[in-house]
Amino acid sequence: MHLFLRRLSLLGDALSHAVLPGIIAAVVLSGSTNAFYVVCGALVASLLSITAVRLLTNAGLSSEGALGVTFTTFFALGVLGLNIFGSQIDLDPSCILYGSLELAPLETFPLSAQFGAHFEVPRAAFSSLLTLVAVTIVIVSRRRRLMITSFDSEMLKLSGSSTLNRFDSGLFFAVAAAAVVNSFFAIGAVATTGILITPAVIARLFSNSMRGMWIITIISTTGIACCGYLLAVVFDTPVAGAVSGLAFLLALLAVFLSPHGGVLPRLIRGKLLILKIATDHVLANKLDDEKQLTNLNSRNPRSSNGFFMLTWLRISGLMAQDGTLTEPGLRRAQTLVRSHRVWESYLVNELKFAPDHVHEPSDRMEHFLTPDLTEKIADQASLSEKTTLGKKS
Amino acid sequence: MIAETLPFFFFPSSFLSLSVLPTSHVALVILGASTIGALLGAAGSIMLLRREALLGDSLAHCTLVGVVCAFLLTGRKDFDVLFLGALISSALGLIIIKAIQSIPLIKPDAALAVVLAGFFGLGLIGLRTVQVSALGNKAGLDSFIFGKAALMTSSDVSASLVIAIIIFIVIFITRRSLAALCFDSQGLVSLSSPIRWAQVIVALILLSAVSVALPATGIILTCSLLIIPGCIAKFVTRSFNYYVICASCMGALSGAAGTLLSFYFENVSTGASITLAATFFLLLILSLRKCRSFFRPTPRLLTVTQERS
Amino acid sequence: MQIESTPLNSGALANKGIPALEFHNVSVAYGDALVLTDIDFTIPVSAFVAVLGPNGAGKSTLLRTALGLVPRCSGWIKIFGSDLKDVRTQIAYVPQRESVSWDFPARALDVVLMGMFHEVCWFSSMGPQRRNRALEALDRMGMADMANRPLQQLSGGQQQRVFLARALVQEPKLLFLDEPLAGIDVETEAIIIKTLKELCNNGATALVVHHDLSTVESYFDHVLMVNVRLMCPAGPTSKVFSAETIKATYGPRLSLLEEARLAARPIIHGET
Repeated sequence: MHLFLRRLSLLGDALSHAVLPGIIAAVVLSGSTNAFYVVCGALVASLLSITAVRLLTNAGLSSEGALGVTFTTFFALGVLGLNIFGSQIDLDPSCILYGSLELAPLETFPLSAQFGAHFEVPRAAFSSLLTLVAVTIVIVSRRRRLMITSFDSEMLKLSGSSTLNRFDSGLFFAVAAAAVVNSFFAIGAVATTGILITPAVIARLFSNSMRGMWIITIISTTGIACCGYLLAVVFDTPVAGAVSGLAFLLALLAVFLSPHGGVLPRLIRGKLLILKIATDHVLANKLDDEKQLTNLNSRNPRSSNGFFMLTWLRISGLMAQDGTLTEPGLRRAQTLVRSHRVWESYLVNELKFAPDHVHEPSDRMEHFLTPDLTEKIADQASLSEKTTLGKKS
Repeated sequence: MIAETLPFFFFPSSFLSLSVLPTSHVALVILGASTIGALLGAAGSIMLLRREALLGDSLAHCTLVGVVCAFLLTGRKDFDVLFLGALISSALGLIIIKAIQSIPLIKPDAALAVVLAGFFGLGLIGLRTVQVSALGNKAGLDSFIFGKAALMTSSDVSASLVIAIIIFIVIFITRRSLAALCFDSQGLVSLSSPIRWAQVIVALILLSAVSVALPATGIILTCSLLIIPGCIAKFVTRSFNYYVICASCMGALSGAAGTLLSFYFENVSTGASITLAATFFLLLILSLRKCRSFFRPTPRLLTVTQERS
Repeated sequence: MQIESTPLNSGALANKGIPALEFHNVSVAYGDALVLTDIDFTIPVSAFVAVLGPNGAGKSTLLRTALGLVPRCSGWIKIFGSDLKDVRTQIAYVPQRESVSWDFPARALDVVLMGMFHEVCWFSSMGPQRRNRALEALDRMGMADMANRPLQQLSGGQQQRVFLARALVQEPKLLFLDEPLAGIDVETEAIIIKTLKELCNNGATALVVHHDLSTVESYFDHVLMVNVRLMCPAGPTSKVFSAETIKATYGPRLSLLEEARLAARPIIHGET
C-alpha cells in the first residue's frame, strides 16, 4: 500500500524482472536450487537494481526512464545467464513470472515434523508467514514515519535526523523487497504486482483516511487471494491469473461505481449539480412573480429546457402539478430568498458595499448558504430582515 | 477471414517478400529487428517525453489477452491475426488506464500497474485454456515473454516494414502537433483541434508499435526498446525532430547490433542481446558526457528540470 | 500581416460596444465539486485586467473555462461577441510555467516557432520569414541573444519571456496569462509588463492572473476579483480595487467565505 502512496506502483513489476539475474547467479554459484540461495540471490539483485535506478537518475535520466532501463537490462542479463548456463540449472523462468502455488503445498518444511504428521506446513506458507510478521512489525512500529515519507519525503528530510531517514527508507525498501520476492515464488511476478497495488487502489477509492485504507487493503488482499485461489482450483486456471484477474475486475467495479471517487457517480453528481443550479433559479423566480419561464430563459439561455426542470421540480416534490409551489418547495424558495437578503445586508453592513452593488453577488450566494450558515451570518451581522433592493420583496 | 478484410496488408507484404527482401536468414532477421527497433524507438521517445514511459510496459502486458483470444477465435498464428488481437486488447487497456487516471485520487502509475496485472492475469487464464484445449503449448508463453525474433519469417518482416513505414509517415505529417503536444498542449489554443487529434494519434502510434513488435519480440524487448533509445536521444539532440529521428536510429542500431551478436554467439537469445546492446549504447553516451564535463571545467548554467507533479 | 490592422479592428469593435470578453452566469465544476459559481462580468476592449483572488479561488479555472479547456455547468461565454471556435486565432494563452516540461529537447527559438505552427501546412517548412518574426518577438522580450539556447539552460525569468514571445508571434487580440510574474526576476517583470501595456495600447486585451496586491494599481487598469464567486463587479481599478473589496476577497472574513464555499458542495437532497 505504501508503494502505491509513494507513486512507485510499478516497482513490483520492475523488481520481478530485475531479480532474474540474481536468481540465476545464486543457482549457478551455489550449484543447487535450494530456496534459501535463490531468495538471497533475488534480494541481492533487487537491492542492486534499486541502486542502479538511483545512479541513473542522478546521471540525468528521468525516474521512469531509469526504472525502465534498469529492469529491462537486468532481465536481459538474467536471460543471458540462462542462455549461457542453461544446461547446468533446472530452472524454468516462466515459473517466476506466474508462480507455482499449485505445487507449494507439496513442498513441506522440516519443521512440520514437530507438529506431527498431520500438519504438513507448506513451505511457501511458512515463509510467507514469516515475511508477513516481519512486514507487520516494521510497518506498525514505523507507521507514522511511513505515513510522512509516503506523503512528502522532503518534509521528513527537513525535520532532521537524516541518517534515521535513510535507515527508514532503506528499511522500507528492504521489507518491501522481501515481501515482494517472497510472493514471487508463490504467485509469480505479475500477480504480485496486482496484489500489491490493486487492493490499495480499491481502498483509496473507498476511504479517505490512512486507517480506513489499511483496513480495506488488508481485507481485500486476503479476500482476493483466497477467492482467487478457490476460483483457480475450481476452474483449473493458473492461480496467478485468477488472483490478478479477480483483483482487476474488483478494481474496475470500484473505479466505476465507488461513491467516493468512482467515474459514474462523479458524472452523475456533476449532472445533478447543473440541474440544481438551474432549478434553484426557477424556484427563486417562482416566489417573485408568476411569469416564471420567460424570466428563466432570459437569465439562463444555456439551460433552455425549462420543461425538464419543471419536471424535476415536480419529481422532487417541490412543485405541484399545476405549477404552484408545494410546502417544501415554498420553504426552499423562502430559504433562498432569505439567504439572499441576509447576504445582501452582510455585504452592505459589514463590507460597506454600495447598496446598488449587492444584488448580483447575493444572487449567487443564496444558492449555497445552508440555513444554519445563514443564521450565523445573520447573528454576526445582527440584522433584521429588511431588504435592500426592490427586486426581491 | 482476416486475409479478406485486410488486403492492403497482404499485397505489399507479399510483394516485398517476393522481390525486395533479402533471402539470407540473418539479413532478414536483422532487417526485421532494425525495423521494429526503429519503430519502437520513435514511439517510445514520444512517450518518454510525455512522462508516460512505462505506459508501453503496461500495454505490452495487455496484449497477451488479445493475442490469446485472437488465436482462440481464428486458430491461426499468423502475424496479422496476432497483430489485430494485440491492437484491440491494448487499445482496451489504454482506455481503461485513461479512465482510471482521470480519477484524481489515483496516481497515474497505479493505474498502469492495475491494468498491467489485471490484463496479464486474464491473459494467463486464457493461455491455460489454450493449453488445455491442446491447440498450443507452453512455448507460446515463453515466446511471448522472450520473443522469437530469430524465428521471424519474411512475411512477418515485410508486414512489420509496411506498418512501420505507415507509422513513420504519420509521425512526419503530424510532427508539429506532436511536438506541441509533448511540450505544452494547453498553451496553443489556436492549434487546439489538431492537438486533440494528436493525442489520439500518439495513442494509435504507440499501440500499433507495440502490437507490431510483440508477436515478434516479446514483452521485455519491447519495453526496453521503447525506453532506452529515447533516453539516449535525449542526451544527444536539441530539437524535437532530431530527437525522434535519433531515437529511432538508436533503436534500429540496437536491433541490428543485438541480432548480429546473437548470431555470433550461438546460445544467446536475440531479445537479451538487443536489450544489452541498447543499454551499452546508453552507458557509452553517459560516460562520454561524464568525460566531456570532466575535461571542461568551466561551469555551465544549472539545468532546470521541472518534474510534473 | 495583421499587425497594422489590429488597432483598427479593435477600435472598430470598441466603437460598436462589443466587449472583448463576456461571462454570463457561468458556473464550473470539476466532476461534482464546484470551483466557480455564477461568474458574470464584461471586459471592454483594450483593457489590461488583473484577475485576483486567494489560492484555490478558481482564477486559473476562470481562464481555462474561457478557453474551453474546462467545461462549464451553466451560463455562456462570448469572446468579441462570438463563440470561442470562431475567434481561436485571435487568442493567445500563456499557461503557468510549471505546467510545462522544460526539459523538452528544443531551443528558445523552437518554442517561439511553435506559436506559428497553425499557419503552415505539414509539408512546408517554417521559412525565413517566420524565423525572423520569431527572432523579432524574442528581441522584443530581450532574448535575442539566447535564441539558440536549449530550454534546460534557461532561468525562470527567461523561460517566461520565451513563453510570452510565443504568444506575441500569434499577434493576438486577446491574451490570457496565468501567473506570468510568479518567481521571476525584476528585469523580466519589467519587460513583461512593458510589453503587455504596449499591446493593450495598440488595441489588444489582456487578462493576467496576478498574485501581488501591491503592484495592482500601478500595472493594471481593470481588476476582476474572484473567490469561487465574483466578489464584486469587475471594473476599473480606481473604482473597484479598494480595501473593502480586498478584504472581501481575501479575508479576514475568509473563514465565513470558506465555510460558505464548503457549503457549496452539492447537497442534492434533504436540503430543507
